[in-house]
Amino acid sequence: MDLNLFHVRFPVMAIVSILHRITGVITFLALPVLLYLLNTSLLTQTSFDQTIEFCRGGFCKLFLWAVLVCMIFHLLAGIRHIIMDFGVGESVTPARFTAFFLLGTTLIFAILAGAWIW
Amino acid sequence: MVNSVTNLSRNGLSDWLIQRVSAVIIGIYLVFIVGYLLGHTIGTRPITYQVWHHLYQSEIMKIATIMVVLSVAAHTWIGMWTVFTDYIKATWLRLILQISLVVLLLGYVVWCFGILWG
Repeated sequence: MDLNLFHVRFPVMAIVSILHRITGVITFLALPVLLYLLNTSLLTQTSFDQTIEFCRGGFCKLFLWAVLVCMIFHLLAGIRHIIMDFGVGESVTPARFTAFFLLGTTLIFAILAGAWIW
Repeated sequence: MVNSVTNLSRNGLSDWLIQRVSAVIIGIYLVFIVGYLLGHTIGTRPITYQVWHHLYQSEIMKIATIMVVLSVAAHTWIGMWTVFTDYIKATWLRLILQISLVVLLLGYVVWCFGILWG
């Protein structure tokens, strides 16, 4: 029996499923930063200007892009999940197709989000 | 029957429903906010403090934001409960993590009220 973990091939649906979890956890970890940014952006004109300036920084841009991509993937994977709750696309062939479609769509949104932020 | 004490509603079926209802609320808000910011940054009218502050001064936006932060709290409670119960096998550790999470989420909800009305 081949028990080498590097030989295990995960189906794309499994990868999408674990990414749904990982992106959810990342979004959760980003919450205090997002709330902090919302707070400083609403306090005063000065703190708003400082928030905008801060968001223009390279590190903050990278952070916002990464969180946005995680949210987009998580949202799209959630929509796929709810569609499956209604019994649509549950069998292997359509599930594999929608999983690839989800990855492709996220890639396109990731590029668009990058173009927006930079 | 074993009752789970750390999930949100102590009932898998209502957790299932809460997870989906909260997801829809968060999803609509996310699409609105991203669309709003897109409209203000892609056009030739960069967002000003007045416009941003005015948006969050409106009653409907305050209500929507509170609905979203409550949805995020419920959604994260259920989502992280799923993650914890899958990967953390030591009950004492899982209990500590789940309780810490709930306290943290409660803090985020209170913080958000402060941001909107502070």
